Amino acid sequence: MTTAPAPAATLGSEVTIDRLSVNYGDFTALRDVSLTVPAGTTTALVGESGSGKSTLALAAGRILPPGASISGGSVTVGDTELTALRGKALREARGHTAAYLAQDASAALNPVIRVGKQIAEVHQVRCGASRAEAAELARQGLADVGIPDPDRVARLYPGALSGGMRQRVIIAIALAFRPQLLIADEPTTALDVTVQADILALVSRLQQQCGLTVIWITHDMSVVAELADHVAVLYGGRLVEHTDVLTLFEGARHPYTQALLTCFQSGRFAGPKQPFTTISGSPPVAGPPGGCPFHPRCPQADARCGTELPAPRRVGHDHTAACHRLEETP
Amino acid sequence: MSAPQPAPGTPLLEATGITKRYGQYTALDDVDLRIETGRTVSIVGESGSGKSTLARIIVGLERADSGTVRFRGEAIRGRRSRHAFRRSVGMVFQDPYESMDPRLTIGEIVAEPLRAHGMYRDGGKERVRELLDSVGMHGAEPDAYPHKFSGGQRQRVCIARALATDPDLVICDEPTSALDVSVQAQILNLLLDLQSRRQLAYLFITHDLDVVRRISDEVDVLLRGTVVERGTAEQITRSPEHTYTQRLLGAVPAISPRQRHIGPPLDIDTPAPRPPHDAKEDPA
Ligand SMILES: Nc1ncnc2c1ncn2[C@@H]1O[C@H](COP(=O)(O)OP(=O)(O)O)[C@@H](O)[C@H]1O
Ligand SMILES: Nc1ncnc2c1ncn2[C@@H]1O[C@H](COP(=O)(O)OP(=O)(O)O)[C@@H](O)[C@H]1O
Ligand code: SF4
Ligand SMILES: [Mg+2]
Ligand SMILES: [Mg+2]
Repeated sequence: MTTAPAPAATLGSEVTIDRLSVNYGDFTALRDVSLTVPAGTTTALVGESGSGKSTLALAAGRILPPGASISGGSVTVGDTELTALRGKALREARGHTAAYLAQDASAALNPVIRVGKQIAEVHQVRCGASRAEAAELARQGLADVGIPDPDRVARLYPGALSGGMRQRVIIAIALAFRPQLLIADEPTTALDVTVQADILALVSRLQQQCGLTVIWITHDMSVVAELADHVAVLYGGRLVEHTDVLTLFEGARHPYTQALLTCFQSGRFAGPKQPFTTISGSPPVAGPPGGCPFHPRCPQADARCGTELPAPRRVGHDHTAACHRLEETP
Repeated sequence: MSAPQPAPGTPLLEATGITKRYGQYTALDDVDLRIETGRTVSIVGESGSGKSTLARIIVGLERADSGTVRFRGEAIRGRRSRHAFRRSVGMVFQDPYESMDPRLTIGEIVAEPLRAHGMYRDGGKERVRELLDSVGMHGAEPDAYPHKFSGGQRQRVCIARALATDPDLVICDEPTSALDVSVQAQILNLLLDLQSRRQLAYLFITHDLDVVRRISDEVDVLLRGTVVERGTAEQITRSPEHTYTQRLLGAVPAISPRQRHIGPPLDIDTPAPRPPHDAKEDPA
C-alpha cells in the first residue's frame, strides 16, 4: 500500500556543476563552467540571449535536445552524478532529481488532458499512488501553488487557463516530482508584471517552505534582485562572474556585469527622454572570438584581451571573476 | 493631400468613444485617446486589457463597433481616407520575426509600404538604403533575408518599414518586449532620436513601467477595456491615484536586493549560506 508522501521539509540538494562543456555539433555553446549551488538556495543565471543559459539549464536537467552533447565535465545533484547516468537510470532521475520549468508554459502542457490528471499521473508513476490518492495529491498540488478552487480547475483543460494559471500548473507538475533541484528558465518573461510578481512570490514561498534548490534563469536584473541568493553571469558560453547577490549589485568586478547593471539601473533612474545606457555591439552569434569573449565590446580591453582567455579567479570571499584587468578595475 | 489645414489646437490624432465587442465580450468600452504632434502617449495595462485591439482599430486593421478616429481633425471613414491615413501612420509590433514575411529580403520588407502607396518607382531603391541607414543598419545588404539578423536588427528593419512613408505617427505595440535589455536600450534610443529629428508622435504600448516613465509624455491606464487613469508620465509612475495603477507599480520588482518586496527577505547581516568550497573555480 502506498501512503501519500508527507510534505517535504527539505527537498533541495546541493548542486555541483564541474567544468561543464556542451556542444551542438561542432559548436561549443557552453565551455568549462563550474558552479556550486548550495542546498536550499537560489542561484540566478543571467546574461544576454545566446550566452548559454538555457544550454546550462538543459544540461543540468539532462534534457538537452537531440544533436546536443555534454562534451566535458559533470553535474551532480545531491548524491547523484547526473552526467554519469544512462538509459533507465537517467529516465528515472529526470524530473525527480531536476525539474525544468520552461518559459512557454502552454508548450509544456498536454492540451487534451485535464490539468488535474496531468499532475495526478506524475504521482501515479512516481510513487505508485492509486488513482484516488493521486487525484487528491493533484488537488493539493494545485492549492499549494495558489490556485483558487482547485477542484474546479483540476477538471479544466489547459486552454481554459490564463498564462499565469498555466505557469502555476506547470510549477505544480514540477513539484509533484518532488525534485531536488528546480530549474526555472525565464518562466515569467512572457507574463504581466502583476502575474510575474505572484509567481515570484509563490516560488520564494515554496522555496522557503520546502528548502528547494533553485536555478533561476533570467535576463532581468530586477528579478535577480528579488529572488537570488547567488548570481552567475554567463557570456559567450563562459562563466564570467559568480558571487552573492548583494556583492553582485554593489561590488560587481567584471566589466560585462558592470555594463549589464548600468543598463538596468539607468533604465530606472535616468530622466524622461534621456538616452538609455546601452552596451555597444551585440553578443557573439557564431561563437565567441578568441581571447576574452567580451573583448570586442569591452571598454577596458587591451591587446592581451584579444588573444588570451582570462581564467575565473577568486577576487573576494565567495566571489570569482574572469578578467585580466581586475586589479585595475576595482 | 488636399485636406484643409486643421484648426490650431487640433490634436494629431483623436479617438472618441471607441467600443469593440467580440461576441458577448466587450474588449473596449467607450475609450477616448488624444495624441499631439511630436508627443508620446503610452498605454499600459495587463494582457487582455485591450491595448492591441485599440492599436489595430486606430490604424484601421480592425473596425470598431462604434466611435470615431480623427486625424488632423478629419474623421477617417471609408476606404479612401483610410488608405490616405495609412500613409501617415507606421506600425511596429512586438515580434519582429512574426511581423515580416521571411521570403522577402529586408529591402523588400522596407519597400512594402512604399509600393502600397505608389512611392517606390521614384527613387525607391535609394529611399530603402537611406531608411536602413537611418535605423542604424549601415552597410546591411538590402538583398539579405531576415533570418540572417538578430532580434534587435530585425526590429530595426521593422522600424525602417514603419518610417518608409514618412509618417507623423508611429504605433509601437510592445516593440522591445522580446529583446535583451542592452538591445532594448538601443532600440528605445533609436525611437527617441527619430522622434526628436522628425517630430514623430508615438502611441506606445508596453508593460514595462520603467520604459513608460522614460519615454512618455502622457499615459493611459487600461483595465478590461476601460481607461481608468490618465495623466503625465510623472503623475502615473510617481503618484498614481487609481488602485489598479498602484497595483501595477507595486508589482515592479526591486532595483536592488536591499529593496526586495516580493521575494524572500534578504538578511543583510547574516549572509546566505555559502558554498563550502567556493574557491573551486580558482585555477590551481
Ligand atoms: N538546438 C540548438 N542547436 C544549435 N545551436 C543551438 C541550439 N540551442 C542553442 N544553440 C546555440 O547555443 C548558444 C547558447 O544558446 P542558449 O543556451 O539558448 O542561450 P540563452 O538561453 O542564454 O539565450 C547560442 O549561440 C545558440 O544559438
Ligand atoms: N480577434 C479576436 N476575437 C476574439 N477575441 C479577441 C480578438 N482579439 C482580441 N480579443 C480579446 O479581446 C481582449 C483584448 O485583447 P488585446 O487587445 O489583444 O489585449 P492586450 O493587447 O491588452 O493584451 C482579450 O480578452 C482578447 O482575448
Ligand atoms: S579580460 Fe579584457 S576584454 Fe575581457 S572583460 Fe576583462 S578587460 Fe574586458
Ligand atoms: Mg534561453
Ligand atoms: Mg497586445
